[in-house]
Amino acid sequence: MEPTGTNAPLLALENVSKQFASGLVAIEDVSLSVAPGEFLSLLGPSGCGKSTLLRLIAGLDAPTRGAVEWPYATNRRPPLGFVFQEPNLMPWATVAENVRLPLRLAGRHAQWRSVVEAALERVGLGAFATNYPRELSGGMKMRVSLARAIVSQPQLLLLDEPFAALDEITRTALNHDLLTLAAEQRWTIIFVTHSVYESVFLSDRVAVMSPRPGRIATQLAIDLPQPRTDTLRLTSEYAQLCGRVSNELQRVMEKEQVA
Amino acid sequence: MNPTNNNSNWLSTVAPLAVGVLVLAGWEAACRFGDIPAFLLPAPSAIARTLFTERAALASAWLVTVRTMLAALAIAIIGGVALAAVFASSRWLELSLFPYAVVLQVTPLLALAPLLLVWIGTPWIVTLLCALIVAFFPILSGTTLGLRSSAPGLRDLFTLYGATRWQRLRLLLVPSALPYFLAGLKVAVNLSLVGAVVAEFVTGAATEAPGLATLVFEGQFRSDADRTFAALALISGTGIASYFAVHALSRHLLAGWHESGV
Ligand SMILES: Nc1ncnc2c1ncn2[C@@H]1O[C@H](COP(=O)(O)OP(=O)(O)OP(=O)(O)O)[C@@H](O)[C@H]1O
Ligand SMILES: [Mg+2]
Repeated sequence: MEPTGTNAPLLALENVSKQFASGLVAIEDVSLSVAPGEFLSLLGPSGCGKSTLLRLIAGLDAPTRGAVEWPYATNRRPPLGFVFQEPNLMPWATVAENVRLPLRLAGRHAQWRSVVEAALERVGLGAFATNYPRELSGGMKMRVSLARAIVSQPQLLLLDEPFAALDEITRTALNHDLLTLAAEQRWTIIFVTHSVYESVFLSDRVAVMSPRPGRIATQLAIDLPQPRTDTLRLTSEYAQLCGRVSNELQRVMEKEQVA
Repeated sequence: MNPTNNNSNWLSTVAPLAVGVLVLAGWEAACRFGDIPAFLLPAPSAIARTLFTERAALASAWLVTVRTMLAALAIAIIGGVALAAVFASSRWLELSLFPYAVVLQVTPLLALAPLLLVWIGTPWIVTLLCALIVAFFPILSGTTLGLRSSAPGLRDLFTLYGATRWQRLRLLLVPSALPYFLAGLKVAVNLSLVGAVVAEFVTGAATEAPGLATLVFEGQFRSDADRTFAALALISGTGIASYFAVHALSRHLLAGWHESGV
């Protein structure tokens, strides 16, 4: 994959709108660009079109107006991993077979066992390879879904509230793993969340979305030092940024209540 | 696994058996001590004796019926699944052809069989066709529904990873359709037996290789109630055995993942 220019963004959304057949406008006039290796969070109230935006980026839906472009990869959508808001596991296949799916569909059959095992270890489910999804808890299913998304080493990861169903401790641990992986593998990540703190801790940039119709209200750069560690949570810079993001979100929600 | 499960497994075998034994014992007692003439209702012991003494004739009739049933079932599975795959790939074909499949299903077999005999003439083809007609629809409708019922989230996933048509069929559509197909098969297996038996009643006089229903018919004609009931017992026994065979197959294939199989 040849970059067309060193500064070319990986992904560029240009005046993208999405209107569903029902007439509902879920996304209106969103322009957004994401640099290679960047960690971007999408933050916004329920129903503001976050999932829809991810689907447009993944090519699962087509925008009604505007364009989704990939300047860095000479306009080919790079291989991507997607953790949907639901686990979307195949009930008839074991955990290992579920995680293996992307490799299988890409025709990669060599050494799949060790690759799948490594991905399951990453999410702390090494002991569950031969279980069926129905034997797992909701949070465990989400972690299987995360293992499946990272197993094929995609350049771009789309994560739709992947940790919403998890307890605080597992969530923090997985956030850590995600940051380590992203840094190691130089992944680009677009992360949907409801949590202000999570978004600030993880991201290079937070885009706050407003509902009806879904737009990007503001974007805030999070220039906290890398790598992010737990001590960061105790600093006043972190607290200040959380406060700013929180205010922006508040503004968006108030505007909705007035409207 | 757990005690309740074990309990209900044990119960589901023993309770029906106990009912069966009680009914047979009551029946035997009624025939021996009651005043029921043997030509109306032979005792279970008499039927058992006939099953043994006439085993040659009964076995060859049983083979004829079972062969019809299995052949019809095999054709219904191949044809039904193939047609369902065509329907799943073309909404247009499904809309134009499905109503005719329904017509086949709702036409009473008893009305159809004599007509078929007149048109076709060869009895074994007529019985096969009758069994096929009734077995076909459950397989077709079950599989058609199953092929459409894969989860939208999984379909997105396959799209995302660029699955080929073949991969999608083998790894997504077939496993999602399997429970629906098996539900259709459960119905079809018994209907194919019913279809074969009904057709034998109609073609019975014309055939040289009598099936079980022909024996029932003959037995009634000659007032040989023992023979009638022995043939009837074989028909029910075959129905019960094939039902449980499909049930076991279904549990085996869906074990571990589907609600009906765990
Ligand atoms: N397939 C669809 N057809 C019609 N409307 C849809 C469809 N999918 C989503 N919508 C609508 O689009 C809007 C945005 O939905 P979306 O799922 O993107 O929200 P979200 O921001 O992800 O919300 P949440 O945080 O609750 O997951 C909602 O009003 C929803 O009703
Ligand atoms: Mg959503």
